[in-house]
Amino acid sequence: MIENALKGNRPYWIWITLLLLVIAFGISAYAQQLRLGLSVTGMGDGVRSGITTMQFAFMAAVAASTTLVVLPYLHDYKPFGTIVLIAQFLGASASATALLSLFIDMGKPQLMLDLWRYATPQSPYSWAFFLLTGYFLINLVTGWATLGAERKGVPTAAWVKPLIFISIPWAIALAVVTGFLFVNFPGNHWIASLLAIHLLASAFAGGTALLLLIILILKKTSDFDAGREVTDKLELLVTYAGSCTFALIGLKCFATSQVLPLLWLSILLGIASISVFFVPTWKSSISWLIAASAGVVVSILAEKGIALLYSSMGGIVAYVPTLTEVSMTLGVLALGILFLTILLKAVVAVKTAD
Amino acid sequence: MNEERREFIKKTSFGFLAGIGVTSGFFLNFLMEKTDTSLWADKSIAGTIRWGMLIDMRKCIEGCQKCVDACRLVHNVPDFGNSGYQIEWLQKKPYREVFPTSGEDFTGKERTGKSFPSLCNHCAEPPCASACPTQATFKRFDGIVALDYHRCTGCRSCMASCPYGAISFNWSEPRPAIKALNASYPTREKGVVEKCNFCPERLLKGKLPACVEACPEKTLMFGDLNDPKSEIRLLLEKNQTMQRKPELGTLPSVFYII
Repeated sequence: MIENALKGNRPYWIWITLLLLVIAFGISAYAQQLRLGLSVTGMGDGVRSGITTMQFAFMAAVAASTTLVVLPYLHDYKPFGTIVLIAQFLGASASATALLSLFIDMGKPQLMLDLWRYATPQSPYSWAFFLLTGYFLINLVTGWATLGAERKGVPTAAWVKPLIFISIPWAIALAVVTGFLFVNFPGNHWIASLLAIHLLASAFAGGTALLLLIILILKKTSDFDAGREVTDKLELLVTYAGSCTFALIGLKCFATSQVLPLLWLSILLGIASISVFFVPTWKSSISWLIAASAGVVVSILAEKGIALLYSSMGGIVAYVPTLTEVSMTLGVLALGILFLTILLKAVVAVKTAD
Repeated sequence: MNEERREFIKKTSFGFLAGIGVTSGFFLNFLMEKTDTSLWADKSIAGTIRWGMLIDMRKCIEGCQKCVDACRLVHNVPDFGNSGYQIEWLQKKPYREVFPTSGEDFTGKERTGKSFPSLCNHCAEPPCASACPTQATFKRFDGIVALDYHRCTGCRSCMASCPYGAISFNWSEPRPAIKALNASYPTREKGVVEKCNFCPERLLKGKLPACVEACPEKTLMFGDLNDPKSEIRLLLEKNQTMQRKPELGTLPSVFYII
């Protein structure tokens, strides 16, 4: 199945080359960080976390959100059968991206395996690492096994379903633990009680919107079409989770005064994007749908990015990521997208084989 | 030299080193220094100690940096100046930064005009130790919140969880930034965090922490908070004292007389 990644048309190879180029930039930037330490980033006194941390948070959320597709499928909601594999592979790629983002943010990455060796139950960071690794493996293994069975036209092996069942609480735990990780973020003090539920809702909204975006792009660029019912359902999920998220962001407006304009920007963009799903003429246009789901993703990303503006001891600081930092972060993102592309290539090849 | 003899010496010395390596694995405490509690004989039994500090601001001289300098020297704390990558174990900070939630913003220059020694509070409920994913930050038997530089992965969870901003991260290689090297204390490397350690390396020899010893005015008082007869306890009983952000429930072991 993996051999399909080596077969493709011209745009496919241009896409792969582009990703490899970004990855190469990322690797060279990371080599510089290994040599000089984290001082090559825009972080420092008062700024403990930067865009890599935000990428980690967002990707962990995306990974967790894929359970929204897996869950109805287990309840025999057949239409999702066509995209459940895409969701699982998105979960695996997003987990890998989140893990790599954590990795490039470590001061001593050579001790990565110590996070396993000295795993600490009371540490949210430890849990995040454990849950992400587990989620990556579960999704990759179950997805690959299902795809293999589908290609051979045989029923999926018996051990796959229990593993998928485990992945559901696993995903919810992942989103909640990420919430705990950000409790101590400056600016989150007064809304600490809302954090876990906020991250869960925003994960479901942002992640599902991203999944919808991927499915729409696949529809445009390949023979794979998930069908109207699936996209309708996903839009509904994005609308539900998105409404919750933007209501919660709205609550945040009462707790803070320093970043109010940015919060409003995020809320307005989010609501505008969601409202596209309510207008039938816009809904039938694939371009509008792509714009709307991208809008939801951007709005949630923007809201998460606000955390970067706070100083560690309160107040607002000027944090500007350096070029090295941006290259590293984009490199990790490109690696995740490359991984997803290869997996999806296999999925599309199997699904469109007959 | 004869080739065979060289081979023999090589192999035996490797074997010897390997032997030491293996046995030190079995006897983990073999190479570790132990606090000689007899040096603190008038104190309570080991295991019930809780080291603490009382900072009497009535005696502290504004502008004096003796405690800060002593700490820097003893622990090889690098000095990056104002580059935005500063490492601080002990520093003097304005009232508003040390007690931002004290509710005494308007009590006049006498209080708010001073700069207060601020260091790791060695909390009884340290949030940094709970946040650490590898237990590199941990609470010792004597209440000191210690840090294992070799186990630290540089994830900075502890910094995010410390409400006092007492932990610093080595954003770049610290060794070139050390002004005067003290060979009796290890240096750190880039990518790990560090903070005040309450000088256990001095306590085990029966000495007081470097900052306490360096203060000419006896502003800093060090002792066992669990010992009802210790000087620090008597002072705590007699005076009105403050802790930093007590509302968070971290139970700091550092107290201030304002």
